[in-house]
Amino acid sequence: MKLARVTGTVVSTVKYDKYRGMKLLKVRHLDLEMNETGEELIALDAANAGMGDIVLVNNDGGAAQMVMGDKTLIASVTVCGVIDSFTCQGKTTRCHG
Amino acid sequence: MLVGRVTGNVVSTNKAPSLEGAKLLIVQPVELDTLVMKDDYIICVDDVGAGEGDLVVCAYGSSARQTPTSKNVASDFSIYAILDSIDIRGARTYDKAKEKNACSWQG
Amino acid sequence: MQLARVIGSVVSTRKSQNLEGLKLLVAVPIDMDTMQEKGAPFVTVDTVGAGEGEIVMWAGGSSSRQTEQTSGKPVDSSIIGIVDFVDILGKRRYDKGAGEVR
Repeated sequence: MKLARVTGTVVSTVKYDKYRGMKLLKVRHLDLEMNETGEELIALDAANAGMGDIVLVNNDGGAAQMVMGDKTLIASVTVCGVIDSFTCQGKTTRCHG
Repeated sequence: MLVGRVTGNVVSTNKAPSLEGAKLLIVQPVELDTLVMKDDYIICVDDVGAGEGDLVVCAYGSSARQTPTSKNVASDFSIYAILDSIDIRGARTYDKAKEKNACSWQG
Repeated sequence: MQLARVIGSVVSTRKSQNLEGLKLLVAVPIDMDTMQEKGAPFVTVDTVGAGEGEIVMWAGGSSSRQTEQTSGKPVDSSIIGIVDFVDILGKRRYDKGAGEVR
């Protein structure tokens, strides 16, 4: 899993049936200094995250099925938690509030 | 299997039920021969009780959900072992008992 | 499957119970063109009794759990064979008994 920032939402009308009712978010990975890295990804939201939130992004298909509670779902990237804070090398970073 | 150093942890209250109770640690991968930390990190689910400064072995993908305690956790990286020593080409490159300053950042 | 040379081992006492009894080795990838080591060393699980210096075949991902020893274990990389010969385009590139042949 990696840290990421929610940078937007995605709306799609014609989609894979199982995605109906699921929220799609645009996320961008972060390094430990909170700089955005890599490309933007579209993720299924399982943590009710919102714009600007720092989130935990999972990048495994099997884990995505567990997170979304559907063993036959086809997905890869999921937002599985909103991060309150993280500590790395003795330095604590608060992510909201 | 990825080898890295535990350098921190992540706190999340609002998370998917399948991550409830999971201990999330920040692991920074190391070069196996020099133990130098790479400029990268992963957030792993701890399955063995690892702590800051430990050198650990992680498994990726579906391999991260193979033990009774990790099979119901939505993990893509899990910590499965804490290293005591590494021997490469006949030389001991890591010995946990002799290591000083595993957490240089703790002063 | 890929080739690698075993160059060492790692020891862990505190580990997942499901890893008990498995030998963890350090290997470095082998470039098939030159039969030389190329790339960063990695940790892998031994299922065949490989030893230091030997060139081995290894498998990654869920394929690494297809052996008797690693089935159902939290393993994502396994050594699944010790290489005796490597022949490429009719030329013997490696012979375990004689060392490397160019």
